[in-house]
Amino acid sequence: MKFKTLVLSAQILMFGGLATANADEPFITYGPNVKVVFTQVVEDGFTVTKATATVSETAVDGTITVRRQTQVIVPDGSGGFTKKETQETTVATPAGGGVFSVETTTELLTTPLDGAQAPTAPTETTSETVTDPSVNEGDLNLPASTSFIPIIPELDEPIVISEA
Amino acid sequence: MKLKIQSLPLVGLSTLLGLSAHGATSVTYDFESESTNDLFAGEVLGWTQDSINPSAFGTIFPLAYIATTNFGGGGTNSGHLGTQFGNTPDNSSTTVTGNLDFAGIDVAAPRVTLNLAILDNNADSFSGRDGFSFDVRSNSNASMAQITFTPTVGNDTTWNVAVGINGAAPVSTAATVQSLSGYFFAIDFGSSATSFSYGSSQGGVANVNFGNLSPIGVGNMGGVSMTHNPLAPAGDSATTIVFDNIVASIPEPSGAALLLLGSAFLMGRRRP
Repeated sequence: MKFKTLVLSAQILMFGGLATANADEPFITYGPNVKVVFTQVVEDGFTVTKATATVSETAVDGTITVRRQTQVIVPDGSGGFTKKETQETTVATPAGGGVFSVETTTELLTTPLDGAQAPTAPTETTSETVTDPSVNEGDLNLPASTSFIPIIPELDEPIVISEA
Repeated sequence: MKLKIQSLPLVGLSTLLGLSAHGATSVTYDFESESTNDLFAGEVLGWTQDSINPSAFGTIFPLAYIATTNFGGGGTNSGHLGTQFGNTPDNSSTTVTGNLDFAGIDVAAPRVTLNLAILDNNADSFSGRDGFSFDVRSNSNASMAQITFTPTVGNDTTWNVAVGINGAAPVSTAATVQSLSGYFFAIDFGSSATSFSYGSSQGGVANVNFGNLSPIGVGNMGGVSMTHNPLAPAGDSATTIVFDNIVASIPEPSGAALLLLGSAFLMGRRRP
């Protein structure tokens, strides 16, 4: 049975109960193994760019932790903008018999920006946690990872074909 | 904050100009004077980029940058263009252009060569593949000669190679490029043909001709450009074209030509 807990204040993220997030640490560390996908979406009637990155890791005990970060900057209709960033953490813990207990915590960070997209007020954060204690493995529907293993920059000898 | 790339020692592009513009016989871009992670958008000497690098989460995700690639003889700085780190949200193309600034090409047979490779891991989660092209451009930025690379249908690791001149639609060839292989490409602007050849950047495979088109009157060369042409839906590809050691050269006048010129000069001086 699924139930939802809504928390309106900022809360500390927990990753699988194993570690407490440090406020100074980035939600996702961007480097050569993470790709950010940029798409155009319609938000509040405006066509804007949405950035999405997702990383996933599986612990030895089978616990799957997925972190997904998105960002859009939307015109506020009065010359400024609003930056909306989500930081979503999903922890799927094996509960036996091919069933997982899944907890998803989503933080929405909203920052008002001026016309030059500089912040005009502190970021407001709301948090929402959804827990489902019994999810079949086939129904997990975890976000697809946008990370990959970088290609080793060593090149092979090519095959060439001359003009007939 | 600019994205720092750690495992690929992406070294900033550096430009090596062989000689100054007037009287130049060659211009080389080997990028060795650049630094890892330098961006073609404003940081690589002699180059420009026509699109803005996307940014989010306080980080710039570059479309074109310097990284290390081993085309043979060890890893060196090279230009990288593609969608490994980000993509244009509207799936528009991205072109980087290097200035050549040759003035008054009045001899036949200029030549442009480069090392080139396409990096794509067909086992990753980004199944889309994109196209690329390399152009030699005039002072007015018109394409004089072009080599295009289009994903081969039915083969996830090769790109079909086509060639064109004077902005005309490229003509297909029998040549293909294999992902993760290092190639040496050459375009020869001859008096009887514009010839295209390729071989191994490591020297293990000799250059072979793969295309001949009509000769074009090359009176100047303004630049070389590399273009990423998105074909997959936005964000569905992680494909990169790598380029290095771009050399545009004009042969020195031959010994026979110099002898003729010298003789004519002497004959002129002997006249009373």
